[in-house]
Amino acid sequence: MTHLELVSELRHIVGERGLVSDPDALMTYNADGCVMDTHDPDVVVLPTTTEQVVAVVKLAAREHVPVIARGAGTGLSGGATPMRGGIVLVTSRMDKILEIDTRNNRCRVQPGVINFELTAFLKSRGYHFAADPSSQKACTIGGNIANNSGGPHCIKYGVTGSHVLGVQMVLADGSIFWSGEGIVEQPGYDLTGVTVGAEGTTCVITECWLKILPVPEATRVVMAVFNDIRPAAETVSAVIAGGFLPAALEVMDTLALKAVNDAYQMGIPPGAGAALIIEVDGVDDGLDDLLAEIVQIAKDKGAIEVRPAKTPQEQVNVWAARKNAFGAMGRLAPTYHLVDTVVPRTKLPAIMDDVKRISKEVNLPIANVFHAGDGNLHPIVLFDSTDPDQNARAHKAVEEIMRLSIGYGGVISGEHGVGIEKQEFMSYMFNDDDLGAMAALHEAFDPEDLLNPGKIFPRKVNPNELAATRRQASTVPGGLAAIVAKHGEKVWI
Amino acid sequence: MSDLLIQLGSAVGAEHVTPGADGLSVQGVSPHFVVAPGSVEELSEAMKIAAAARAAVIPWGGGTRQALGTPPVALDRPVVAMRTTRLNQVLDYTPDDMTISVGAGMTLDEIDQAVRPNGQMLPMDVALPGRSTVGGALACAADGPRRLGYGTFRDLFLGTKVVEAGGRISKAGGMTVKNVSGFDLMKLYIGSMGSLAIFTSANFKLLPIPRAAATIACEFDTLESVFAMADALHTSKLLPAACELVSAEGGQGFGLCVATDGLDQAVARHKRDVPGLAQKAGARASHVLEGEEHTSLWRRINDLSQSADLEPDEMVIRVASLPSLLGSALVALQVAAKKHALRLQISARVLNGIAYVRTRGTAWKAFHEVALTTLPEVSIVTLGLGTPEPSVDVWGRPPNGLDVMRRIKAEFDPANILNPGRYLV
Amino acid sequence: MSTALAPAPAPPRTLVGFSGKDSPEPALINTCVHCGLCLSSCPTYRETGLEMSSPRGRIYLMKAVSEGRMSLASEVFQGQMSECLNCRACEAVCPSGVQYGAIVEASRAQIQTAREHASGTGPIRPQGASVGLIRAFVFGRLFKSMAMFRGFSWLMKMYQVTGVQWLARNLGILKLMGTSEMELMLPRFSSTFTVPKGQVYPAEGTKRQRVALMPGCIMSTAFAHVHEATIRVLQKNGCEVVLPPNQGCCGALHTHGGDLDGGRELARTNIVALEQGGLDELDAIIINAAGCGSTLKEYGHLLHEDPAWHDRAGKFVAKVKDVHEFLAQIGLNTADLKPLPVKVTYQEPCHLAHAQRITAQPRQLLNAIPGLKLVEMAESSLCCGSAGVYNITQPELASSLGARKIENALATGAEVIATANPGCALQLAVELKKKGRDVPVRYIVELLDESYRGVRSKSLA
Repeated sequence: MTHLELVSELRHIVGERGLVSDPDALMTYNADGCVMDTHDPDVVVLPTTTEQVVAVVKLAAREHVPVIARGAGTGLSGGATPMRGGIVLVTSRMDKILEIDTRNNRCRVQPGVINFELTAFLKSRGYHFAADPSSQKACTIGGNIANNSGGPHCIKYGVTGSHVLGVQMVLADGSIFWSGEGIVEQPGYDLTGVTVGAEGTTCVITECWLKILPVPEATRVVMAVFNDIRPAAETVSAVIAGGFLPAALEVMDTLALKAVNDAYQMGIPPGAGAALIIEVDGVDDGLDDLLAEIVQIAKDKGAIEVRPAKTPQEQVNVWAARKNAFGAMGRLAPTYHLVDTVVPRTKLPAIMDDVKRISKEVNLPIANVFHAGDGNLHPIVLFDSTDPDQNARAHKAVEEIMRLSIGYGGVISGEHGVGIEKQEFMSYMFNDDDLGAMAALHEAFDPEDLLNPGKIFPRKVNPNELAATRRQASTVPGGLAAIVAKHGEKVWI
Repeated sequence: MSDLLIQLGSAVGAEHVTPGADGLSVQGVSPHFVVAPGSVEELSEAMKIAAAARAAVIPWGGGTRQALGTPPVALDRPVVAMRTTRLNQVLDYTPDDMTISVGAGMTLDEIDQAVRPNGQMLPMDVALPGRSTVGGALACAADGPRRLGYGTFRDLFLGTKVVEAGGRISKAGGMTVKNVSGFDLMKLYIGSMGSLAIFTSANFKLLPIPRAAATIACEFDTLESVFAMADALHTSKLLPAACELVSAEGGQGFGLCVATDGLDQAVARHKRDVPGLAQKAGARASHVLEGEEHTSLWRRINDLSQSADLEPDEMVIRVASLPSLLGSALVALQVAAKKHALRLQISARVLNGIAYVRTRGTAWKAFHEVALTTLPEVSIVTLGLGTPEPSVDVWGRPPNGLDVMRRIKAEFDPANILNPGRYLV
Repeated sequence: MSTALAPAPAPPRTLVGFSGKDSPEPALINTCVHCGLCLSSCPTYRETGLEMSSPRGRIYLMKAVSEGRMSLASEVFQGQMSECLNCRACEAVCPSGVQYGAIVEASRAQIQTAREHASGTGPIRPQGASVGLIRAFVFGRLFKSMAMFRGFSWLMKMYQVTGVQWLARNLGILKLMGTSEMELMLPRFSSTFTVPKGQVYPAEGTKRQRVALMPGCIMSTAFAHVHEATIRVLQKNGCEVVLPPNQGCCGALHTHGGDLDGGRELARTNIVALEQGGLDELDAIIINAAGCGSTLKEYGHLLHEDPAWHDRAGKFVAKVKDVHEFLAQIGLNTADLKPLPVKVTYQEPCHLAHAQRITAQPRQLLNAIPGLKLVEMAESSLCCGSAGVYNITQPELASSLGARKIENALATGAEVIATANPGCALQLAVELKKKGRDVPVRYIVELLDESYRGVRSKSLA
């Protein structure tokens, strides 16, 4: 099938307005929020109905063309970048909130609904959706599911995966079914669970049932300001070890504070080395005492100032500043590399020291804004990508931070996903057998590798081949010979 | 058969291979050998041997949930019970990280003993915690009443190491509380009933033991008023840790046990407000239980879902529905039980839409059929039958996506070594 | 596994990049880190869901042209530079502080310059002769001479009052000509025009401030009554108001439309007019139209490459105040406000909310009016689709955005829609007319004026 024929068939499915095929326009879909590598799609479709999605996927399956689902393209790991071309299927026009069922704490939405709009819709009804990534003003629920998105409040409420009850999934062959609709225990493998975080490699989602939570009766937010990042990190470790369960524990270091202070005039005292945002919520009773105890820990660790957000508006302002911190980095440097790793929470102070040292070694500023309560770091290496030397030093810093995190017992991504950004780091954490188990799962969903191909697995690993190798090893008793050699000729038949 | 015995013995040590069933039996099928590897490597080696011998391997923890599923289809294959009980060490525990890695053979009580001195807990509350291993509880997706406040294994299971059907060792996840590094295989393995791989270790997020806790036990005459109370709790701003409906077998009326824990003031607030809601919903009485009374009550409630020790005329089913439909489903089951002269005992996580229903009486099969046919919106899984009966549709309605599930099984265990015939795929 | 597709034939192209003065500065373009947080704020993205119709997408296109990977002649590029409303909602939400307005205006200037100089054989299509003539007349003559503008407006007014308009509408002549939408857009012209001739209106009570009002072009003819209201409100607030002569259009249409030199010429005219009108003695230069206000405040940037004018522009800009901003700042005289029991919703002009970041003050003023109930509409800061000449260049999107705005406004059940910009006022009126709804659209200063005077205009009664 030629490109023209494909475009023409797709036009039949989604209509002229639902199609993008001009090369200049396609160029705008060659990356998401991560621009480290780009690749143009062959064509972009913007379906409005589930039926159109099914038809597009079926056509793609018939013609062996990759399908890459994309929401708003705010992902930070290149998960929506069409590395092998193909059809980018954009869900931005499937943006309806279809149903809210407060009796069963659930709501049904299309994947293109913007997280913040859902949040606003739910808030007006006394509910919230737990995942609140920093990009929530623009990112979509479909993208949140694909990346198992987090956000500041995950420390208490868990990541997206804990709040997806089921999805209507379109498999690579175009078959479609609901993996669950709100009953929390059902027999069978957890297809919803493995689809969350699979970065669009298991299916295309056309609708989903989300778990929603009632807005707590009361919320308190304070910001503790420190001279340095270390006491802030120590406070976090102490709060966790002390058995508190705050709704959020977020740290910003001096560079990040400077950027958000410029953007939001937060009146942070000059020279502040770090700020820790602490939020507690629940029933009103006892909340003040709880907060006072946490604040006391912060003071014992050396907080120089503690400022409560007194009104709901002040709380909103604190969070707006925090959530826009990454974007505000454009004020500090033309390019940044945002690292997303997690370490055990006792290792926070140590790795903060390491980041500081690495910053000195590579002679590049590194800002820190992170979900401290989860041990989820976001060192932001600031550099100028037009300078090849700075580029090389930035990459050195990223790699070093990544290695150190794993050395501390951490992982390569806490919430941004692997995509193309981290795929080579996968082998830092997982050996071929570990990747093989993932390939086996992938194979069951997408044996032709058509759904968002070229992601998650290291580039040299072809998941289909890996799965095939596994199958052979299991069915053809290649391993058997070794057993026989070791344990004698007579094997049970 | 004896060669296999020798081979297995050479892999795990002869003293850890027992010829014969050693008293174990899965719904009438007895294993030929019971093997108890002492390490991941030994388990891997034993699995390679079993696979080469095309054995049927029954992963075995505490054995408290072996009544689940259909009987193994072993035909003429050797049947090996692979016990994880010797994998019972704490592997990694830094209390201040509030995470732990344990061997899959540790019981829930043993884990509790390991973390409690540090003021921490794994709030899973599964039935028979003294016998249930964590690997088995994960494989069966066991839950507890406090899932309302603390979630299930799905929310706390961070990483694992498994041995696959061919003996391959693979790991997934990690030791951090957040992780999106690759596919979430933990979700795949939870509830997969040992059909894909055998857990050797599991990493969990721990939580602080709440500073205060109490129970408000409310007595009601009818199921309707219990669910009116549940509705009232649902729309209130209260945040109970558990809300369990309990009906005593042959007893009068129903209890709704509301557990509250956390800050002293928050617990006090619940103690103050819950009785008022109960009274409005028509409760006969409500009592506040604290200290040992509170603890022992929940120990008993947790065990109400057990299916390990069953009388010959006993059946345990799990009813799962939307929370809004659970009340009417239970009323329908009550009516059906009466009609078939069965004694009914219910423990239900009313705000989660989960009920464990236990029947005593001979007409259980007819009751089961009525339940399946009259409640199409509800998932009914049979957790155990006092008298195994292969013809019973233990999984209820087949789930969507069965084809994908079968492909997953085929990829992970193409020779059908693990728990053959027992799971719904 | 690779795609089985045969590759698309690459179109032959001659790359034409940015050149000469008024190029979008690469440094400004590169402030964008491609995070995408702007997407949901962009009206055209919300309507189309297309990446290229988002601020991030447009910057990506500009970057491609700037780096020589895409031609200035690209239809996608030119189309998107035209489709952008320049509402600058994206600037308000951009954490990196990308100066989007500056680079989109420079891109438009590049396109316009290239068109005017196109030979017809190169990749850039020259603009059609009629477009050239109209552009030359409108940008080059009409808006540059207030006398001519008022003459033209007078003709239009005659057209409206003599019944020719009625005839044209009912005979459908305009529809045949394909300009019915445009005609619908024609404002009802005020009965008298505001002509700045050095008038001085004294302050009521103690004189607190001396301010100049800039009546502008369309405001001074179509909305002269708003100026009258503004003057009265300022007087009520202790301001002596002067209208320095020789001032004219602020140049908003020019700068937004890519005629930066035209805009500069007007900027210089206005700066001179105000300097001669006693700039040093003024406490503030007041503007009551959002679009003009944002343009006046950006004279510094517009003239930043002109050393002779840069400082003069700076002094001028320092005094420019939006009327709402000004009133809130000096403290509104609330003692003389009389009850105005009416339910109002507020449509935020983009150039107030986004370009000038003035969002609280208009609401503060409305809430100060006793009896007035302010009800917020959904998406109050999403562009209404007016955006200067947008109705004419992008009728489809303008219309769908307009409809979306009216739906949101009507959903509040408000009896009056308040706004603060002529483009918005016209767009709202058109969309209401299309829907057959009779909800008055008023400037905030008009409502303040009515409250001070204790009279309710006919439309509010």
